Amino acid sequence: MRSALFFLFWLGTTPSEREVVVNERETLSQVAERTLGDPNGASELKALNGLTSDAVPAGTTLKLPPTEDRSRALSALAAARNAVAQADRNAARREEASAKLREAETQFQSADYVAAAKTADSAWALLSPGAGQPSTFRVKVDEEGETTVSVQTGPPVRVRAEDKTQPVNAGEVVRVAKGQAPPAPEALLNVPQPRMPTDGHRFKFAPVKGQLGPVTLTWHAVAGAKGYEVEVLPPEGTPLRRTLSTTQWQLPMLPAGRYRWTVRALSESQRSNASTERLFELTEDKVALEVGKTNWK
Amino acid sequence: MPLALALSALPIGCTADEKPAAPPPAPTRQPEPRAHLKEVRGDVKLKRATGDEWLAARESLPLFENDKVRTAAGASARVLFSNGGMVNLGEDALIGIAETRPRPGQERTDLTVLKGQVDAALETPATQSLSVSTPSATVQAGREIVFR
Repeated sequence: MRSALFFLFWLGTTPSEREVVVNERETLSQVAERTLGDPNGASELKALNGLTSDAVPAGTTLKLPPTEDRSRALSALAAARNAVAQADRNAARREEASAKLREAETQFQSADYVAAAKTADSAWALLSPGAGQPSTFRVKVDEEGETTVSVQTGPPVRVRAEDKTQPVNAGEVVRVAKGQAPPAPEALLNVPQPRMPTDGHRFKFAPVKGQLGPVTLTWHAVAGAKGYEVEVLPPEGTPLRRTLSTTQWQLPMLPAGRYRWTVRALSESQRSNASTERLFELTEDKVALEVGKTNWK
Repeated sequence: MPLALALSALPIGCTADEKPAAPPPAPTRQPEPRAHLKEVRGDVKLKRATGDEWLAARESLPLFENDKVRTAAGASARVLFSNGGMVNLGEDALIGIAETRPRPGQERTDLTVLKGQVDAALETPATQSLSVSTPSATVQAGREIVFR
């Protein structure tokens, strides 16, 4: 029975995980430093526990902030502070964002962590172009460990290496070599748009030694492209591939059949996605064949 | 209620002369999955942090810290993180799920790409974040990630 009473006493005197007991001669700032790792957290403890003074008697049990909410608010505040600090002084929304950040700081000091995170997020969003759009980006690592980051939509993506952070905006790409800081990003190569032949076009040719053609593929030029990589997939057998510096390719004579083709833009450091696939068909010109077979006298 | 709890904590047959019972041991916490595997196509393998074997990956498998996923030629898979981040793995890729706890002097990451290509997406970057580390860089998208 004595052990049960001891256990009851232990339960009664041990504060729960999110509470703390003030020690002898301990100030509120010291309690904040001990529990939150920050002496400035005294104002949060004061607000959270409805205290009117910084002097708290030893033995008082104080509620502590919910860890997750506080951590999220801290993260949002830090992001907003960075965004305000890095924003151009003349940026249109800097003043508005600064006011929101001040409001978020006050909410944090009042231990209103959920509101603080929300307000800080809105301050960050004001200074982050594309923050309202989904963020989509690609990370590619090659055999040597070189990293290529390309951003399609949304706010800038931050690429960090060798203590340097390089923002990469939507429509930009950066390539980082091992042990090197990220260089300035360049414009992302657009995907070339095929022009001719139109999708599904059927060509009729008189065969020459059983082969048909020639067909010329054309596509629209892409800004920044140094060349184009074209791939033609025959109905069977090996694909035809060619890298060209122009926006057209006259194909060699080919057997009859249905062919699919795509084109990519190339620059010194980039290879765009392939264009949408186009189809063309090569058929023998029957009329031409029949002329050759007539038995005229 | 505390009395009932305290009494129920006593072992059966405990007498008044026995030593006071020690506080009950803390329950072992199950690790939280950091992400789940989706849209598994083709030859996709998974290696648990706790094992050495590459196992065939299945749809909806939970992914934990330091697990690795690899895709073969023509294969693909999607990794959905608990915070809403989404990463599509292309073919011939090798990735690792990063540790949750921050380490001093190191930036927090969600994912390590060791080889190949991943396409990442955040639906609401104003409130979400995704951090990808590679052998040569760290890529952070969405809201900045700060630990104290």
